[in-house]
Amino acid sequence: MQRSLDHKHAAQTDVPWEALRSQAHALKADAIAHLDELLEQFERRFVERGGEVVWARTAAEAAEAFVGICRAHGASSVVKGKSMVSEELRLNEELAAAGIEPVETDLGEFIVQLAGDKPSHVIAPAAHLSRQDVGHLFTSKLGLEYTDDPRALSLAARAHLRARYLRAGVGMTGVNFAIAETGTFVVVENEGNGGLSAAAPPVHVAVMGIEKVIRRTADLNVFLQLLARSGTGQKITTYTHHFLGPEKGKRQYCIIVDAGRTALLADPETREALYCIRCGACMNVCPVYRRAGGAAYGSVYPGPIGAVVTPKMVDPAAAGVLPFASTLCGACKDECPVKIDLPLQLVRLRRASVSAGTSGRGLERRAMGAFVRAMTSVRAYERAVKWLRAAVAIGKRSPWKPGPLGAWMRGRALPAPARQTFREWWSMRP
Amino acid sequence: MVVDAAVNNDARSEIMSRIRAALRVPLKLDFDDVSAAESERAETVAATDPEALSARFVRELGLVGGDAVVVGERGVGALAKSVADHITRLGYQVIAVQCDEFASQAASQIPADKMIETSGASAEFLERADCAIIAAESLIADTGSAVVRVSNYQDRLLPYLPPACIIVGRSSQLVPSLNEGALGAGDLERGERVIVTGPSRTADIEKTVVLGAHGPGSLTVFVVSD
Repeated sequence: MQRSLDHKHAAQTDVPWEALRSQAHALKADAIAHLDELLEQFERRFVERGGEVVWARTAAEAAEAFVGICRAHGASSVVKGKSMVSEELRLNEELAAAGIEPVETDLGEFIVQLAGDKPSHVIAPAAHLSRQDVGHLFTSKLGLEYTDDPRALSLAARAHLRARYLRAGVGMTGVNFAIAETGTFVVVENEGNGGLSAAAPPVHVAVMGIEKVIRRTADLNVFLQLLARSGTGQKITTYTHHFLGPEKGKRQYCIIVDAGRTALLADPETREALYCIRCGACMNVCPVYRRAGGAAYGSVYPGPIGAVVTPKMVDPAAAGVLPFASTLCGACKDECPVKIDLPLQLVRLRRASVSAGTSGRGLERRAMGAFVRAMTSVRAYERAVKWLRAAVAIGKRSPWKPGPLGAWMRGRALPAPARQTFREWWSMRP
Repeated sequence: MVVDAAVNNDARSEIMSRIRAALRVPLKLDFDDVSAAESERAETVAATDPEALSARFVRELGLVGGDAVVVGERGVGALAKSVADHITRLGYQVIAVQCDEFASQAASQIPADKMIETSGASAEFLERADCAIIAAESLIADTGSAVVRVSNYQDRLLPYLPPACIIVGRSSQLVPSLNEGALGAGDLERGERVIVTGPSRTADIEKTVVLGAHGPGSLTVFVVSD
């Protein structure tokens, strides 16, 4: 991880990095502040180019629309380019339930799909699996002879997936940037799977969150320079696809999804989170993410940005948990290519959660109250010390470990209390 | 329309009204950030001298695992000879050429028995090709990228399907950096404009870079003076 960070910082030195970040932040601020106009303009222009727009209030509505499109075109399988929004839609599950086979084509996503797992990073979905894991997986699921050579494994996936592109009735991609001025959209990727998914099947369905729209083609220049450098340390990804509307004989749909984004928008304290371009840089530098891994967040979007967007977009119950899963060290803020003040957002969410009483921190509050009482009176302090020493001695021996404290203790060994307290020692000294 | 129009209209107007309601509370914008954006857009390469641009293009493409061939002599005839020699040397047997005048000229010295007819071909048929030839629309020195425009079914598959890809361009198409002109979309254009920077790659298994993930493992860009 450290090596790739160094590599990435090297790629940032050949451009006016700070100026680009400020520009990107301002461009996103402008686009989000005029989101209604820009979405309408994008729709109008995209339709003029022969595309069809579908609006979806919720993830479920978007998935239903997607399945509807597949049915209307008689598709029995869908090849998918890399897309995080499709994880929000639980598109693979929904397609399978409708009898349509979803095929992930991004190598990382393909591995994760074979393993029956979930992506652990927005741009490196299989980062949690070793080459040996992948080798064993390909042996058991694809019947290939075992190898743990990344090159041989990558080429095996290529060979396996090639025929799938040609058979699929529908190809799906995400959208990195939708341009209001032209009604066109941009997808970036390295493998060529996005290009094939879009081009080979007769129908291309692109799925995007409402926040992906930008004003002008000229703005792309700023974002493209930031996105690849922040995501993978490249100057630009291998393929930057600019889709210009369906050519003759082709159908192109764009599903525009809200799925909780307007809730982020409605709160000025979290609105900035919509500027995110999903590069994954905040995860790469986050000490909590790097220790705990993406799965620990239990949400589609992990890491600092996930901790901000998940409570508002998907799961209000996460508000008492995810914003607290951070040390507030600020590395994510320094790294963010669009200068989202993630620590500030996390603090705001914590404050909101505590005032709403949803933080689930009653025990902590009571413990701190007791601590304050003990520390402000000598008598209370002495009593507390006596009581605690006894409790620790019992706790160490007792197999009975109740409640949240018990859960904490099961994974840890309590230190034995000292033979005497400092006060006892002091009074006994000659 | 495949999706129920009434449902779609409802969804659209509800999302729009949510957005408008949300935006009634404006965000205080950071003045510095806005003024930074109003200031000049970052220019990454100052040099516009053709020699320097060409040298930079060759170097950058090499860094991402691609090859650049700067054709020694002027003109499309020299380009065609250079491309034909390259194909013979590497032993490519089945060549698919983009439906484009410049690409056809560049392929004009390849023996006819190696060429397949792409017009109207199926994807399965195009899969037989071991090398594609595509024309560049512009070349970006700063990143070693070739911008290509593909606007029919067969042409859209060519940058990805064959294991080797050749892109042919002219030195007058070299621009210093990514710009609106290279990226833009005209009113009537359909299909796809794609910026290709090196061969297809992946690093999804333990961050080990592997070339030829789903697209070509080899990319050669020929640049001829005009």
